[in-house]
Amino acid sequence: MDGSHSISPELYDLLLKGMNGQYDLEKPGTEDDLRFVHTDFWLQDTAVIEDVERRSGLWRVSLLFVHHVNPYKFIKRSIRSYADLRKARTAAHYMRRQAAKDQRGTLVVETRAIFPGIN
Amino acid sequence: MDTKQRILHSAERLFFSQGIANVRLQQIADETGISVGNLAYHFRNKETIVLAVYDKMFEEFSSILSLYLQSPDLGDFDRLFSSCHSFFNSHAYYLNNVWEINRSYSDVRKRWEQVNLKMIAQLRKRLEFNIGRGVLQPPGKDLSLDDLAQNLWLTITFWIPQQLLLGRKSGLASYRKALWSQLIPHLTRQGEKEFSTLVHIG
Repeated sequence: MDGSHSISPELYDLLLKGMNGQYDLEKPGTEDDLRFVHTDFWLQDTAVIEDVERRSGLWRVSLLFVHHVNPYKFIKRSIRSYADLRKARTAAHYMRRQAAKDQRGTLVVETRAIFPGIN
Repeated sequence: MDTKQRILHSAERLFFSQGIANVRLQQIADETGISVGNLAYHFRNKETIVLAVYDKMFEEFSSILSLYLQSPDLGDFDRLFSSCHSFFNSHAYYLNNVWEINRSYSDVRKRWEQVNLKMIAQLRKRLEFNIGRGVLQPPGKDLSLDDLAQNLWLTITFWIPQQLLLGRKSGLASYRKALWSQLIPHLTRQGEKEFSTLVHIG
C-alpha cells in the first residue's frame, strides 16, 4: 500500500456503506415479492378498450381492461392527455394494440354477462 | 527467498527481540549470513530497512482490510479475528517498537494511523451491518458504536502484547474468546442462534 494514495474517512465510510448495502440488494427475493404476478394474473385475459374523453380542455386517453368472461372485473387507467383529438385517437389506437393480449382485438367482452337491471 | 527478503526477515526478528534502536547493521548482516558491504548494497542504511520492513507489513495488513464482509454473517467477524491473530502474532515486532516508531519514523506512524483508522471504520460498519440484519442489538444510550468498535480494535491490536506481559500464551483460542466476549452480550436471540451454528470458540 502506498501511503500517498489514501482516501478521506468520509469517503471510506461511504464506500463501506455501499458494500454493506450490496448484501441487502443482492439478497434473493422471497415468494412474496412475486405475489403481484398471481394477483394480477386475470389481466392476461382482458379485452382492452381505449377511451378518449374531454377533460380539463384536453383529450385524455384511458385504457379499460375488462375480463372477457366476467365484465364486472375491470380496471381503468388514464395514460396521458393530448390537445388534439385526432392525435389522441391515434395514440389511443396504438396504446391499445400495445397493451392488449391480442393485437387485432378479437378478444371481446362477454356482454351477456352484464345484467343492468339486476337490482 | 532472495537476499533482500532474507535481510528483511532477519531484520524483523532482530527488531522484535532487541528493539529497532538497539539493532546495528552489523547484527543484521551477521544474522543474514552476509557481509555489511553486501547489506549496504541492498539497503542504503538502517532507515531504509525499517521502511522496507514496514512496507511489507502494511501490504499484509491491507490484505486483511480487503477481506471486508466476505460473507454477510457472523462468520465474517470470526475470520477477521483469526486473520488478525496470525498477522499480529507474526508481526509482534511492531508492537514492541511502537514508541520508537512514534518518536523517530513519522512516515510509518502516519501510515499506521491510516490503516488503523480504516480498521476501526470497518469494525464500526460491520457492527452497523449486523445490527441492520438483526443479529446484534444497538448499544444502549451510554455506549456508542464507535466505543464498541474502538474496544474491539484495542483488543485486536494489543491482546497479544498484554498476554506476553502477563506471561501467558496468546493462542488463537484465547484471542478469539477475548474478542467474542465483547460481542456476545450484544447478540440478539437470532444472533445467538447464528453464533452457535457458525462460530465455535471452544
